[in-house]
Amino acid sequence: MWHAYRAAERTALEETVDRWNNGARGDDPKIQLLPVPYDAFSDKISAAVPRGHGPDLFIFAHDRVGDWAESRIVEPIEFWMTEKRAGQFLYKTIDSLCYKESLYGLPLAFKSTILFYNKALVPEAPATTDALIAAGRKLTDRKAGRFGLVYTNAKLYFHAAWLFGFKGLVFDEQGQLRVNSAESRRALTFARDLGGKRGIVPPESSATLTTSLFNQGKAGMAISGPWMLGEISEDIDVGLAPLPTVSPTGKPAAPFLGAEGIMLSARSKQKRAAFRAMTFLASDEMATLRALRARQPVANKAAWEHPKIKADPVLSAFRKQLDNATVMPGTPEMRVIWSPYDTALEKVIGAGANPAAALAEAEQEIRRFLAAQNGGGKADKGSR
Amino acid sequence: MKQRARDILGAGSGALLAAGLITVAAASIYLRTHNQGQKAMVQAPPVAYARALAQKAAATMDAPAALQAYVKRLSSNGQPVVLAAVIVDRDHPRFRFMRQRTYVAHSDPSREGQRLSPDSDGDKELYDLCSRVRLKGGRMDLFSPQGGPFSVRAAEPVMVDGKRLATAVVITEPRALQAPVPAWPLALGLLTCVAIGLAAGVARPRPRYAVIMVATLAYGWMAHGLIGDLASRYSEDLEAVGVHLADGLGQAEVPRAADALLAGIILEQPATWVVVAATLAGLALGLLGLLGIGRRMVTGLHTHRFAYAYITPAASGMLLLVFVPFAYGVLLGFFNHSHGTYTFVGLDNFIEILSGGDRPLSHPLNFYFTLGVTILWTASNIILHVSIGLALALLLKDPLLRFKGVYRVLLILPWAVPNYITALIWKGMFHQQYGAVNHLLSLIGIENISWFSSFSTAFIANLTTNVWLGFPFMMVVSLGALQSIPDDVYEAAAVDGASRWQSFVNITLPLLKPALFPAVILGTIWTFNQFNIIYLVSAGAPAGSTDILITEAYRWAFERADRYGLAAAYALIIFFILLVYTLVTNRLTRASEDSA
Repeated sequence: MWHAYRAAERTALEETVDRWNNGARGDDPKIQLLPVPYDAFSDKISAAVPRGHGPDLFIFAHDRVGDWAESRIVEPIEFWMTEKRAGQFLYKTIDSLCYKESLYGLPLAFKSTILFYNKALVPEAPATTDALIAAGRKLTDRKAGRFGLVYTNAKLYFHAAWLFGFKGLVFDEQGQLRVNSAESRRALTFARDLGGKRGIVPPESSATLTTSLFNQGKAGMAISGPWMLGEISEDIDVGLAPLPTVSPTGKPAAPFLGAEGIMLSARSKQKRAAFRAMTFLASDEMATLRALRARQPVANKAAWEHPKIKADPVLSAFRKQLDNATVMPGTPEMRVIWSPYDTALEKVIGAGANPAAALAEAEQEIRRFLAAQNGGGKADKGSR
Repeated sequence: MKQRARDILGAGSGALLAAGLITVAAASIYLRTHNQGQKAMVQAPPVAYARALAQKAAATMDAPAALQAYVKRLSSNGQPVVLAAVIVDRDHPRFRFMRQRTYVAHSDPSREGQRLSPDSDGDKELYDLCSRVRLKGGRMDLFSPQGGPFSVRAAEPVMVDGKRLATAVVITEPRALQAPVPAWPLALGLLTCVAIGLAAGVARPRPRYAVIMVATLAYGWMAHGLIGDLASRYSEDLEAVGVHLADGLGQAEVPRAADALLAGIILEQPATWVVVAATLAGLALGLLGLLGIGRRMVTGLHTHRFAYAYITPAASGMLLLVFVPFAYGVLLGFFNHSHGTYTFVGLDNFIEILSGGDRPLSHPLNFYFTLGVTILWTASNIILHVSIGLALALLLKDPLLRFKGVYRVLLILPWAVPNYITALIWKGMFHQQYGAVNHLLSLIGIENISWFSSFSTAFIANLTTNVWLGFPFMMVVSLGALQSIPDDVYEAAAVDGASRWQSFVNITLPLLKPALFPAVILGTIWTFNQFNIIYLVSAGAPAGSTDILITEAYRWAFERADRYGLAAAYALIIFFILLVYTLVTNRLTRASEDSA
């Protein structure tokens, strides 16, 4: 089994695998773990599995599921699922691993962006965007390089929370592209003003700037994901809270939800045994163990009933955020959205372009990309 | 005697080359057509059955007894049926990925009305097949179930009022097949051609080559005919199978029913033009032989055989590490990639790039825009590299200057630091709020430039970084060249009353040219493809406008929709631009050297 976990998450996973190997497996084969660097992970899977190499099982984020299902790299597993087994997971997490009505993995953990705040500067997390801006204004002093909020504002992954909070969409329920809607324009205008001359977000924000400003106490609040937890300096008294409600719409900001799932290779020679191993590793008991050992926001409902996990302020903040998160489509179409959309964000937030024009151009560009993607599909329709 | 042996060998290898080319082309098309034909013949029964079953099911969905009777009839129609079934779907109320699937009809009556069983691997295969049909419409493939014998299966959706209610699945045993036209005449033709070539080696040159060319032409004509024959035999056979199946199922108006049953199984016309092209190429090779090149090559290989043996390891290394990836890249430029499958699209990628991809000229993703930026980028870099490098070299050459070694080391340092580290440092220095550049500028009263939000400033940021990285190389080159200019030339000029400027223009520059010219060519190629700086400093900001061709190609491959083919085409175009540039400058240098 391949995975890309590091540090505490890795030791926790190793512990669960040990339990499988030493007892729980019965007559099934042992699992051998192989850590693979995250950056190279998806390319290695895409290259190795179709050639009959690669692992039986692997753990990865759900966003490649669509691609891998289309190119028959991952095995659909819903045939072996029972209602009880499917019901043990938080609905959104298992739903993420679903592509075109088939299930391609069991969820282990989820992640989304969340609001980090420095308790010394911001005593209480803002519940609405108006409160966020008011609190931010007080902290912002451009001359001194101090800001209310810092986040990577010119990337769709981070902008998505506002986009969906303003009731905007990327694709509608029929799968039609809805990039340039009035709601999306409003969300983009909001983000532009947030980062503008009188805004509370510094110019040219990036992930490194987010961490360094937050750690220096030069930014009272930050929007980032669970990966930032390990980077926060010990001097900061950090609090975590779900993202605020968007005041103009009354809808909570809804960041993209990413699910990490354990997936089965379509080329595995022992699929049934591998599936048993999957269900064991994704079981309630193992999820509780991972949550306790590695503070992982796990996907099993039962784990969240554990008193220690319930009491953990960090984990419960992520759990609350999940209720307002938007499932990020794991479709191949979604993969071409990022680059044009980021360009539009950069144009508007960085260079002050008109939101409507930038989104119209992004939509046109996405349509071109989608046409190119489907153009290659012509050969696929024939008999194979 | 030795001369004669060489003639025979030369003529034989010429014939082998010409006929071999035709054989390779013809054999590959033969195999393709053969595979397609076999596949169609093997698939025809299950596909036809599945179609018929799906039609029947759509008409008699409410009457399972009639459907079950039809399934039995299928099984006794001559072609051994392993399994025929109609599977009905029911959605799960709670989970969109779960559904119940039940057999309404099955060739094994005991399974009728039963759910697909999670304990059976065969049922898992059928279940996933139904899911795929749900997504993609009809489907067929060859498969070998775990432990079982090889079989063929086909699945068709059962459509009622435009809605897909169920899936009809048929698995049959494969037909035993033989190629209707054997391939051995191709091998025989090749051997004959070589034999004729060897025999013709005894004749005088002119008749010798005429014989070889006639043999080549005849062989090409034969191969062409063979493939055409193969294709038409397969389509005849397929038609016969269709009529037989339709007849067995008692379909009215048999030939038309056969067409309907086999609709979708298409035999592609073989690309016989490839054989024609290969024949023409073979004739051209024969002509080359006429000019004596073939014989000279044989002689050359023989006399220098040790030299060739020595370079073989290095040459094969080059072949493997440079030419194979290069050839792969070139090939990729003619394909389109989508979900792991590559489709041949001819020149489409190149047309898309060179036509600007229906984007206006001012659009940053338009090829000509990027090309313009790349040329501007390269030219401004080279001008600055050379002028700064040369100026510093002249300063360092001054005999009165002290601590020369120290300065030299300091000035070479930017070159010694890995360039991506330098790029990241500069990117940080150009940050609007916290960067050192804006901080320094504010001291002289220029406030807060947002470097990466407009083209000109982002371009300047890139340029500054690359000038910092690039001038030491030019400085080192000029320094070396300056030191090789003898002092007495300057003394003579000074005696003649030349000013310092005059001696710089008339002595230093002309004598530097031979050293600087290659450095400029090299520097141009490096800068043209300076991926790291663009990617790390401006990252194309704003909106991809500062991207150069090489980063654009990268983005097409890895950041936008996995368009590997388009990216390969981009790389190929970059290669040709640089090739032309190098050829032109080479000619210019040679001309300037000749005149000097």
